[in-house]
Amino acid sequence: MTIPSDTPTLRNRWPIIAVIAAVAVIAGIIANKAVYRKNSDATATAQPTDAEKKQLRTLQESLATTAVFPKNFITVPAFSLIDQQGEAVTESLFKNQWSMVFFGYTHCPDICPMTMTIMNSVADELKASNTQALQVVFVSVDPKRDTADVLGNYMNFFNPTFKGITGKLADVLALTGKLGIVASYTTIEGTEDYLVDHTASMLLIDPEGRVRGKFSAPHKVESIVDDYKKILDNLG
Amino acid sequence: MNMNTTMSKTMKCLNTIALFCTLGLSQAAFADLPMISNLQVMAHPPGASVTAGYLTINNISDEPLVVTGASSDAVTRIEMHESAIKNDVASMIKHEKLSIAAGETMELKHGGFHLMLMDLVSPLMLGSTLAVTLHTNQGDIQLSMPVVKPGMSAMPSAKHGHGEINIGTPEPSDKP
Repeated sequence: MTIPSDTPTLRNRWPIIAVIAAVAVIAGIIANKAVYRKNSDATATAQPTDAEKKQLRTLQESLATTAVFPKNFITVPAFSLIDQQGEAVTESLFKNQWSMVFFGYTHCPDICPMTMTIMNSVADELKASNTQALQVVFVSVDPKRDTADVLGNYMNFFNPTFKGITGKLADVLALTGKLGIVASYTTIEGTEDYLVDHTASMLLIDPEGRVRGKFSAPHKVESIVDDYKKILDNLG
Repeated sequence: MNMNTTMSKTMKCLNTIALFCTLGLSQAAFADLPMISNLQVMAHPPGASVTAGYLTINNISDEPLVVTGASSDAVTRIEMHESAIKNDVASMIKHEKLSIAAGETMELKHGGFHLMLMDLVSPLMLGSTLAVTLHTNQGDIQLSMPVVKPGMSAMPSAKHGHGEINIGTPEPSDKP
């Protein structure tokens, strides 16, 4: 059975597409309002004031490669995963300290090791300049291969103070999905191996578990340190 | 006095012959083979099965250079990959060959093209060197790639291989 080509009739379908789009937009607004109503109960996701919005705009203009978000943007949702010691980890990991979260996988030969190395230098720089420490969290988007043991070796190699997070694939993807992080899997031809495409940015989480910054790749030690310091000065 | 002059003349002559020999040899052996520099293999966490290799290839010949692959006894499979970040998504693109025009240089470096070393036969120890054969249309090139810590900047490329660890030893291939 062949799928009929709809190219010639696409023009005729525009009104239908427009209606679907409009419905989708309205549904989105309603859903957004509902989420907002739900979130607005919690102080952690309260609406920013006008002064805060202005401060955020000024801060944004001063940053090199980072996008900053208002406090009601996204809060890390509840999750249940494990760290490199096999200990249970929940959203409370992101309480009471600033965290930088990177999403990757240990079978990644180029970008992930370099990012880990860069974050190691960032940690050193922050220490040297007496800046508030940053908890570095590596969330594996390849939990099938990245067991707690594998992550333990990985973290010990780069920096044993870094937190490696893994768990059931569905649980990892539930978390990454809510944070707007993507991961997709491609088999390497002729092998059982696969590569993982994943979001290159890192997320900065504030001590109340709110996503406050998105640090864009390519990552550089200096710009990460500078942007983090500026964010601390303004939002810390 | 006379003796000294003769000695000096002889030495000069010998030096000249030696120089010609060296030049002659290097010309014969390395005339058209690409210059390889900045060789690095990333040390990896224990138990890891993959890592990356980097190098700079300068095609000094008058012909296009096509790298068709690489192999090593210590690695089950080596592929040529390119890291790319598109729409904030990091991915890797596999390349079957890398073409370098006459006189051009190609850098295989972090965040771009690299050798992807897969299924390491045994761990690559920091400070050791990995023997890799680069397969090209101009013949095989034997590389001696030092295993370094990730994040270590590439060593400056030397002009000629006087035993520097970052220099590959190009050898003409027996193959046609």
